[in-house]
Amino acid sequence: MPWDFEFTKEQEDLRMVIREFAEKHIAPRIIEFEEKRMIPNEIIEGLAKLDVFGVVLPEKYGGLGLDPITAGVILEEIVRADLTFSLAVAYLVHTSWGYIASKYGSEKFNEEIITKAAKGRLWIGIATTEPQAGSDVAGIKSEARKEGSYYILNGEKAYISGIREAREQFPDGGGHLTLVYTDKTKKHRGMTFFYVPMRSPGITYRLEKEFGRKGWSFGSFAMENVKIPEEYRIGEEGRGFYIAMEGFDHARAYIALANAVGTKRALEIAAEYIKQRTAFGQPIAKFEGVQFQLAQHWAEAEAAYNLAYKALWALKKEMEGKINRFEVTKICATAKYFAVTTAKKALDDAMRWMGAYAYTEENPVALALKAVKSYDWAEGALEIMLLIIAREVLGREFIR
Amino acid sequence: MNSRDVYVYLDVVEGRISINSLSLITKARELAKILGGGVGAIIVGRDVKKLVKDVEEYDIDVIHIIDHPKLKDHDVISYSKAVSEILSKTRPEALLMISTALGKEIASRIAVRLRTAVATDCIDLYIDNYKDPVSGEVSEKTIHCIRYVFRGELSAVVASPRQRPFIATVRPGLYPAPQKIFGRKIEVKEWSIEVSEDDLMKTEVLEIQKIERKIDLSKAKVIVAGGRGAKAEGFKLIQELASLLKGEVGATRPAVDAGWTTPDRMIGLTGQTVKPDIYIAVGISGAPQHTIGMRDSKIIIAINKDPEAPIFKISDYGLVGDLFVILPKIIERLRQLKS
Amino acid sequence: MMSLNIIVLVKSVPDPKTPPTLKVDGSLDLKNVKIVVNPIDKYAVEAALQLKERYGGKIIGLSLGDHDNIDIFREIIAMGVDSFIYIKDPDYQRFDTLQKSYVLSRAIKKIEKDLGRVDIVLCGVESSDTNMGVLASQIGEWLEIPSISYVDKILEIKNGSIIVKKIIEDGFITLRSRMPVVLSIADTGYEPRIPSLRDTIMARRREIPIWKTSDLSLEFRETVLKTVRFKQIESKRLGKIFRDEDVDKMIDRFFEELKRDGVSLLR
Repeated sequence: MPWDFEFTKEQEDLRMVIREFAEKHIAPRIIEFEEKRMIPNEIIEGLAKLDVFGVVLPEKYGGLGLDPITAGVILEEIVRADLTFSLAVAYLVHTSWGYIASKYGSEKFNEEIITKAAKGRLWIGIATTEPQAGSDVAGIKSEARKEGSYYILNGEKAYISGIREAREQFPDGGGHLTLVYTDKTKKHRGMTFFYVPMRSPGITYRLEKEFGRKGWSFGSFAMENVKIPEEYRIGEEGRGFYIAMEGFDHARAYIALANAVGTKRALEIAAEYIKQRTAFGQPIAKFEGVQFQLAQHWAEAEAAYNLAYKALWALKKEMEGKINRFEVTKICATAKYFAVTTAKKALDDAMRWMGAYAYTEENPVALALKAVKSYDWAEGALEIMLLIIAREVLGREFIR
Repeated sequence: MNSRDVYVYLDVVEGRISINSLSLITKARELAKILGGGVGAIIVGRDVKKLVKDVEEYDIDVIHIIDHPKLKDHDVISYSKAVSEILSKTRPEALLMISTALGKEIASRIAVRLRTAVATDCIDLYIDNYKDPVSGEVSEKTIHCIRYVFRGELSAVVASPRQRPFIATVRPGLYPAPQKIFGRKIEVKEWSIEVSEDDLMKTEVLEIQKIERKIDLSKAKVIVAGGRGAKAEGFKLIQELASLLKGEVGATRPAVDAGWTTPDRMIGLTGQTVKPDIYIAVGISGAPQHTIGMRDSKIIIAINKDPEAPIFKISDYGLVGDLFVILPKIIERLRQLKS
Repeated sequence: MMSLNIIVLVKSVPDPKTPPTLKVDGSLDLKNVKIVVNPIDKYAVEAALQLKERYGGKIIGLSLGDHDNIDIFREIIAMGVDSFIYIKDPDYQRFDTLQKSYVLSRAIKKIEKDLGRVDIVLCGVESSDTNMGVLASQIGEWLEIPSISYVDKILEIKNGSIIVKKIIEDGFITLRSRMPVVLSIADTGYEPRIPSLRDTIMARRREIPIWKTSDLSLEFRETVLKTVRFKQIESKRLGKIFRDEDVDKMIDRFFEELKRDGVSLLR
């Protein structure tokens, strides 16, 4: 595998576009995201105008049709500017699940929904978790039954990002790719994926006061006889579980990158601070104990960064038909596991070096730590990541 | 035939000769003495003959004047034509002008007309021999000009070894007001020119918006200035400190644009240039566009939370930290000292 | 619909974010310095784009230099100019403003022959490296057309004349001028747009013709202003920087130092 660790000129050009926007419009306002618990509309509109919401969506439907690595470069610049991770969530969830929706959705769905998603007029999220079932996907209870050319959905989804934004913040609304049973007897093979617009009649919701990543909403919604046209079914009946697993791989690769980049940036900030702060007459940066820790975290963050890009590369290869599904799943799980565990440890230490100063709602390192805790479970619990890796290495028969 | 005279372009502003352009006379005389030539003044405009008497008592040898009814303010084409006519007949060593927006425009066009060199925003001029690095040819007693480049991060020395006159626009306020000399007879030469339709820019002035310049910061001995880091609340502290020190409040462009203080307090490239005894820069990063307006202050003190801020490189004293914590404590300390 | 032919002049400069360094002999050390588009010129580009949006027409970007990195101009294409031409002359580093403005004015004349008419020439008020601010006036003189420098905003074009708001020493002045005209645009009245990802990608595929100065039938080839040397601004500053988490202690030390140096803030 002769790697080229350099990005292409085009990727660097695109990076600079986002960096310029991010430095000017995003970075100065991140405390506002946390305090107001929302992203200002101007920022969403500004990003939409730059084509950020259509990066991986097909050109045929108004997207840029770019690959996951390029999408990762753009995510990098967003995370660097916003260590609260709220914009990272907005971008990576829409990017991964938007891609999946377009790939498996009908022509009509693409023409109607993906065209708007590509222009940033509509946001796409994911809803698999339920109050009683997270990692145990088979334990979901939501179901759909067919009635003519519609499906009627009932059930509840919990711990879902972006319900409010999909209802109110984007001009054409938005919806979540929702996993439900269409045939309970078939277990995993009886699940189907639907695009459920959040403005649909029959949907009620409530929002939680999340601990971190406060700029992007977090809550649950209930579906009571929600009518979904069959054009909004994503993939065939019974294929929902497998499509969802594929989508999780995409999301995990981006999450891995976001965590790695966030860690690097937080370490940069902490390093600047400890060069200045003194204890016992010396800058904290002069104490070897701190230096060793910083170096270790830096090494791990660098490894996580490269592993994340390998996962994005694997997704790209899959789009080209040159790698099998299991390889992709293994590496995406590995990347997410490694990046998130690295991030949590590094951010924890970074906060500690910064001392009392870091214990405020305005310290980006503290905000990042709160955000990355969500990745203990978001888009796949860490323990599940480990099971996936073990399964791929040892073989299915060893996994209970 | 070139002469070794140094000419000064006297700006007519609102019907009077500008004091800034008069101050160039002193420098012109200094240069002319070394060159072995005299000092000339150029006055060009409409209804300007009467201004000759305001200038007769300065250290000038000859006044060249063009008074033409068609010469209107802001018509840089006709003005540059008029001045060029005088210069092409008299061929002095150099023409000094004040660096106003209009002055630079006229100077630029004269340079094209006469195929000669122009250097803008000079901060000093001196005479030296110029040696060509390629041919080795030496031009003796050539006027050199020092000017800022890279937005004030470096200075450059430029010269025109061959072409005359050398047109130099000079930053205002560098030289002292000229001395008056009594009992001398100055030659006054009036030139007439043709001003055809093609020679007129025909620009119409539709509206003039003057900024109330209530404050002349150039006279202040102490200035406390705020930048982007200060924010509106910071300016309250800045005002308090300024009052305590019997000084004035200044600001950078971003602070004025944000509305935290009035435009007449702006210091920098597009604001005032100041030289107080004490300049306290609060929440100012030190970008060249600002520092070029205050770098000659006697003592510079900076307060900024970024230890890498460029302002610290040009400060005598710097305090790294949060201005909202530091300023109140300094104010408190000074109040104690006062009582 | 009016339809204006607009030319925007753009200069390549060393990245202003990198502090300039000098070699021992007082010349510029330009090794490893990134070349970028002069930031203020982007305001002129934005002004041109807004004129085109309002009145219709065509915008041609134009630049003169000696480097090979024409990719830096793709950002200008991505912003929305219709085409971009680069004039390359290996002697460029020696040129003074007289020569640069002359070459550019000949290029403008050549473009005018192809287009039939040029209505407006725009550029930034000054470049971040030489800070002369004379380009617009000198081009105006070479082309024998009006020029206005330090334009804050272009207000209107009507009946063959243009109305602009210009920055003067103590305020603003609104002027009406005939066209064609050369304007230098300040960084106060416009906000240069950030090109979208799509436009950035499309710009990569566009061709940027490179003209040689020998194609321009130039008559005047003298450089009259010579740069003797550059100098670092000497800092005779004391540079006493105080840093401490304990703000009270830091201020104590600061006041002690002032006292030691004989500096009194209060008078």
